[in-house]
Amino acid sequence: MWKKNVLFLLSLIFLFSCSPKIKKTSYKSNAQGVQVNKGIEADSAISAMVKPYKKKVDAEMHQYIGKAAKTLTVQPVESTLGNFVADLTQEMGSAYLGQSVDLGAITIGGLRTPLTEGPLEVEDIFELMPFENTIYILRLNAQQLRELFDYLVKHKNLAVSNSVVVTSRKGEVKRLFIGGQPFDANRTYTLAISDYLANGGDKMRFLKDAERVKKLNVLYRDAIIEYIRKLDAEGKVADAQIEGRVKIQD
Amino acid sequence: MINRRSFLRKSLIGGAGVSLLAGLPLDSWAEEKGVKLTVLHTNDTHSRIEPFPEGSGKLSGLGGMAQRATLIKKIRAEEENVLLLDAGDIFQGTPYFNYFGGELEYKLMSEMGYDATTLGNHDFDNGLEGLKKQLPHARFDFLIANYDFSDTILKDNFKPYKIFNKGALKIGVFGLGIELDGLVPNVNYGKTLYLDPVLKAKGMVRKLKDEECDLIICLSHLGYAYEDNTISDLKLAAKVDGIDLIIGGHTHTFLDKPTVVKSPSGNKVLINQVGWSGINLGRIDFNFHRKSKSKVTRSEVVKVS
Repeated sequence: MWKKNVLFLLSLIFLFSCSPKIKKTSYKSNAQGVQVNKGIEADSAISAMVKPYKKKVDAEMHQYIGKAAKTLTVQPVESTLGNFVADLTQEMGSAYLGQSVDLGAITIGGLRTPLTEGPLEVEDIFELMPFENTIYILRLNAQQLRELFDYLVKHKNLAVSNSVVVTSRKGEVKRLFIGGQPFDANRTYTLAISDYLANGGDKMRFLKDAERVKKLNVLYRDAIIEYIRKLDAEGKVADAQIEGRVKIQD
Repeated sequence: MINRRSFLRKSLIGGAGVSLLAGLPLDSWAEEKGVKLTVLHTNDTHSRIEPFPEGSGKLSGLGGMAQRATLIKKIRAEEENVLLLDAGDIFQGTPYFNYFGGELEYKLMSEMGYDATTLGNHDFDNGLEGLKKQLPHARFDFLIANYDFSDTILKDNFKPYKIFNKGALKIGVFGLGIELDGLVPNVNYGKTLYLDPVLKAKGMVRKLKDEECDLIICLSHLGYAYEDNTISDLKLAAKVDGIDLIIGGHTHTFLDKPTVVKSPSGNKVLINQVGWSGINLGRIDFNFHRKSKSKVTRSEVVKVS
């Protein structure tokens, strides 16, 4: 009897040592998420920690920077907000570089909210451009410049300053004017554009190979804020028109 | 006061691993009282310190870290074993990040008692230096198994996995990050190497099984699903055995309830993701029934003979 027991127990050892590792627990799960909203009482410890940071952020965010003449928005092909930002990109790019830049460009997807008519605060520009983009000055050869405008016609999401492009209904570039002059294939053109696009973002892969003149040591957002402040100091308001930068001809 | 909206439906998912024991003379073995583990989780909180301001459309008034903290404190008061986890992209999205670089986000998460997070692509937005600078403010672990920081200034700052002891339970948690190339400017991640998440996950599971973990959780910033062949949480779950729960992120996916995917050997893997900006706090309760260890039985045998 005693012997039998030992045999039984030994067989148990054998069974366990040779069987695959057995999960020692089992479980049942029940998932129930909870919505977080301002109806829930704020935790006092967290609120106290936030307070000094909030004070600084609010003070910065609610600084007046200037005014918008009307609400500037984006839409495909040509838009008021697209033109406004493309133009200021060229102007501020020139100012930071210390020499004139031929073109400024921005994809409208990078402009996250409209600029609303009336007074503008720093916060409005944070909402317009929340990401930490900088500005590159690129030098484009004739081929790269053609690709830029082919991209504009194809994707209808690119605003470019200082230029008029005439296309066929099929979307072929027929004529191109930069600074009021016909495009000259024998020279290069400089372009101010975000680091994101210069590095091939939004499918602008052709810009990756363009010559880097300079990476400006300024945030794109800060350049926009500075530009609107400058306008305000000169008694001007932020404004732009749809003026026929992209023309379709039969 | 606490708005428990019913959009996150209750769901009961059967346990796995019992069938192996069926037919063995278990009745005589001591069965301990069940142990409960409450997993709370967030992802892609994106510097949303305060609730969305008025004028944010449908998002107005949602989120808020002080509000999240209240919920967490209440749950901690009710539950013995709570694990608080995050799946990355803590950084970027409000001026708090632009001005303070993530310092406040880490401090508040530490105050809430977060146990661990993984790295999201936006956590590289101020480069490796920007990330390193904020690490002293975090009193929780960064778990990442498939980024190799050996040749960077972040060498030895992160662990691939960690085992959390909660009551009698051992919970193994590891982290997986998304491919950085094309998503994060190269200068921001430098010589950080991205390694195959499937291979790394298999290795992590082996390690955590060897450590006899009762539950294996993957914090993933891979994304829930993609139309192309890009690795996602759905694909990971179907390719790797042994993961119990994937807490996902990156795609800002709001799931009504965890998705259940079968692993190669047919075990159920839960995948959950709670949108973004801390709008929802995910909660999954696990009720464990612990059987006596085979080891214990063996020592009894030795005594008898």
